[in-house]
Amino acid sequence: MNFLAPFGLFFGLFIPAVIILYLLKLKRIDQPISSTLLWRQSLEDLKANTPFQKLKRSLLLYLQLLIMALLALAIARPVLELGGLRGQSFVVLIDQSASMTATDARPTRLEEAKKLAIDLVNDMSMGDRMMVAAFSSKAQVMTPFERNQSVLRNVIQTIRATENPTDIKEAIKIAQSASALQNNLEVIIFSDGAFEAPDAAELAGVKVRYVPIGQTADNIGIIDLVVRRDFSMQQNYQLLVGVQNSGAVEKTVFVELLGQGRKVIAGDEEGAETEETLLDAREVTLEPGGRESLLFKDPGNFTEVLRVRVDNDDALPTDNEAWAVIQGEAFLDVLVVTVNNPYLERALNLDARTRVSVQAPSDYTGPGGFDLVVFDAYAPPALTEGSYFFINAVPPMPGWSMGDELTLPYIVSFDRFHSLARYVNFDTLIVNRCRNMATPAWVETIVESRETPLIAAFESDAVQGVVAAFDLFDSNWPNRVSFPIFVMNLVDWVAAGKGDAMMRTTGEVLTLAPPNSLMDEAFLKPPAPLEPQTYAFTESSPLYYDETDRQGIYEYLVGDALRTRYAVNLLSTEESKIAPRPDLQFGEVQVTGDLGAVASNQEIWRLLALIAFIVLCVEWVVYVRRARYSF
Amino acid sequence: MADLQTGGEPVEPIETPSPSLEKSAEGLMDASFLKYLEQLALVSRKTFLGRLKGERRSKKRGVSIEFADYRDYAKGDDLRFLDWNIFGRLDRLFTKLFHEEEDLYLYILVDSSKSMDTGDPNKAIFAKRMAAALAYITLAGMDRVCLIGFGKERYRWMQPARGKGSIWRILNFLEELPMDGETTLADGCKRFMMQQKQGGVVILLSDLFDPDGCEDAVKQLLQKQNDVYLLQTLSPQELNPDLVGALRLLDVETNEPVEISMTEELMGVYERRLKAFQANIREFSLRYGVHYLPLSSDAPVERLLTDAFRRLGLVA
Repeated sequence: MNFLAPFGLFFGLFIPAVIILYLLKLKRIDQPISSTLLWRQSLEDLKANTPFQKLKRSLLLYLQLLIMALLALAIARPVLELGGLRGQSFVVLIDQSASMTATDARPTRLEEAKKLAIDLVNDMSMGDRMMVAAFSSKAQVMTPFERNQSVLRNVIQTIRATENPTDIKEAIKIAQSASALQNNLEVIIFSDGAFEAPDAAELAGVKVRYVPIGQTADNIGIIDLVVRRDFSMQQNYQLLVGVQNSGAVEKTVFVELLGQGRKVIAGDEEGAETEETLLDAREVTLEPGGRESLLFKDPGNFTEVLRVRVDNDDALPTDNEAWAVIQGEAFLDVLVVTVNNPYLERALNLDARTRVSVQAPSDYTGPGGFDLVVFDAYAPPALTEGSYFFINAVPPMPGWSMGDELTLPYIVSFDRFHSLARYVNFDTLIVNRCRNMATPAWVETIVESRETPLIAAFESDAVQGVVAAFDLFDSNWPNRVSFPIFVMNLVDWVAAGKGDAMMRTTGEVLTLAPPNSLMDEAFLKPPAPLEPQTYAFTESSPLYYDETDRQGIYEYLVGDALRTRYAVNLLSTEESKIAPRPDLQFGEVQVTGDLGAVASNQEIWRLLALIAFIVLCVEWVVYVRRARYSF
Repeated sequence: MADLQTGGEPVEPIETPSPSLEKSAEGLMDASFLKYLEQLALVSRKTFLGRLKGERRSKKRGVSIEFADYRDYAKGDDLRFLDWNIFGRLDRLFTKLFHEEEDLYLYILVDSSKSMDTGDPNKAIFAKRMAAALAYITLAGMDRVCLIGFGKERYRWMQPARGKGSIWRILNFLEELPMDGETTLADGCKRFMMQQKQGGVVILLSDLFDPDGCEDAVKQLLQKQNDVYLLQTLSPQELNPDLVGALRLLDVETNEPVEISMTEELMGVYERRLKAFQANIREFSLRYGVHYLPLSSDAPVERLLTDAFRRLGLVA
């Protein structure tokens, strides 16, 4: 037995008050009477006949004292410890990932978890301390160790659902670092277990309890969404949708494709904004636990934003929708930085999708709004985000360098499976002179000579590029049919990379490139219920936006013009499998789910209050029986 | 002339206001009641010495028509009472002795303590009506009535009255008798006995709520061969208390409080106590030849006179 509010026992000071009230006695009504002779004798008889009269008379007093004692005990909130909180410090980890928005626990799993966590807070004894952290793809400490129960309750209430995937590692790290400060630490995880538990070593002696939330497994979700523009196939785009049924019964659902964008009208370059329209719908039958892929080919030619929806009423509505962004620009802006290279310009102009601009190396300031920058025998001092083609120059990045001049390098091989080498035959390529080029190890070599790589492609975080180690005029390549095909492949490669780059996972960071002029106002417009945010760039380094907790389209605007559109989706196989895990496996260590971890600390004040009420009723009956004539 | 003196107006003869029975003290009696009383006669099982000639046989030998005994003639005897028939037969002189017929003394002692002035109907009024009724019956029988009211350190005595005309005096006395002070039966009775010159019927009207008991008082009354009647007057509220709740009972005489919480249990105990109280008095009365009659102040006086008192032999 323990008391959650021992100060409530001070209420027991009212017990002497009852006795004092009894000593003061009740106010009797004066009644004149002819003679008290017989009454006096009767009272004496009463006393003489009943030896326990005194006790009986004060029965009411004893009952009232009992009521007061019970109430004082109840106010002190005694707790029967049946295996509940016994430690001194707790770390409560609450899963706020997408799967916790499932509505199989009313209203949602997260609310259920919060309710249980608050129950736990209410069960805290004097001197217990609790730390609360919420976790999804990242972990957030809601409050450091705190004793105040109302603060803890408020903090738990402020935990909001996200549509992020789950990664508990960070949360476990938080708990672990807390254990370094606190002895006798207990970690309590409120989750549905839809995550990959870290190795047991990560726990490092921290006591973990797991409270599983949720019941159902029935859910159909979109787990994959890929958009490709394919110019060469003369198609606008292709859409690949992966759907998963994590339930135990076979289901047939409709997968709808909805589009929204601008209709391009001749003479009006901007076009008119269209409402969201249904472009396509497919029926798909999913086995229990099965997955299906659907390919939507070229459903419309004016779409900028696509939304895929699974028409199914299941416990987790979050994964029934996914968004994709189609490059609104039909054209690729290409900047050629060269003194004079008509071959290059002509090859680029052959592709109908490109708009080529030429600039002298001395005028070059930065990639600006161009999708592809071609450097002909020139390398800028530094590279920013973008796509580049270096000819007879190397990117100003570590690992790259140009060495001695070589004559007639002997071409040993080329990577015919690389997308840049599609339909291209390098057998006929003859290079008169080239430079001995040193490349970092992670570069993909497309054409290799015996002495040096001749053409190499690279993709790093924000920069992608192709490097040719020779001057075009020192080879026969511009006159070969392979050159324009290669340039076309290059344009495809750049365009495809751009399309992909707009897809993000919830919880991921968006990199917002600074506007051309720092004076322009930059906005980020998240999906509907969230408010747009204004950003002020102080220098020409990118800003990072990490509040992508909701699925949908995030639009980055500079001034009034749309700069980038991001499609943020959950697309998680793990999150869509909403069946709650009965236990957690930390490597070798298995933590069995224990819903009783919360309910086991039984507060008994209700029982005490009930007993007090019953005693009160008994007291009333005794009083009425004693003074029956009074009523 | 007479017309001039009266101013020409006819003069109505002014009737001397005879005491109206309806107006009599506190409505102690009304006309029908008085008439009814006249038909009753007070009887006594004992005979007493009287002062004046009355309608009751006296212990004294005297002049009456009722023969009592013979005795030898002595000089100076009234020759009218010689029995000449015996003288003729036996040649001896015998004087006839007759029972003297005398009047009866009725003493009515009214407890005039404060406790009597309670109850509904009021015990004091009941006792006064009872006293008045008994007094009237006595007066109608040409007997003497003496009223005494007593309380603590208070004693009122009314000179013995005779004749029906005295009823107004009695009523006045009763009317003016204050009901005040504590009950001290023994003191009152002692004082009465010191004053009583002639034995007779002694009626004590009281609730007998004397902390010292009524035994001593009654024993006093038994002197002078008095025929003692104990009429215990209790109110219905005393016989069946209608008290409720938590109460502080205040004695009207002493103002002493007794705190009670009315319960069924206490009610039962009180009823037993009351019965025991009355049974004690009855037993004591039987032992000393005293007539005891418990009365409720809500009982009609007429019924008591006709039924209960007849059975007791107090009235004929």
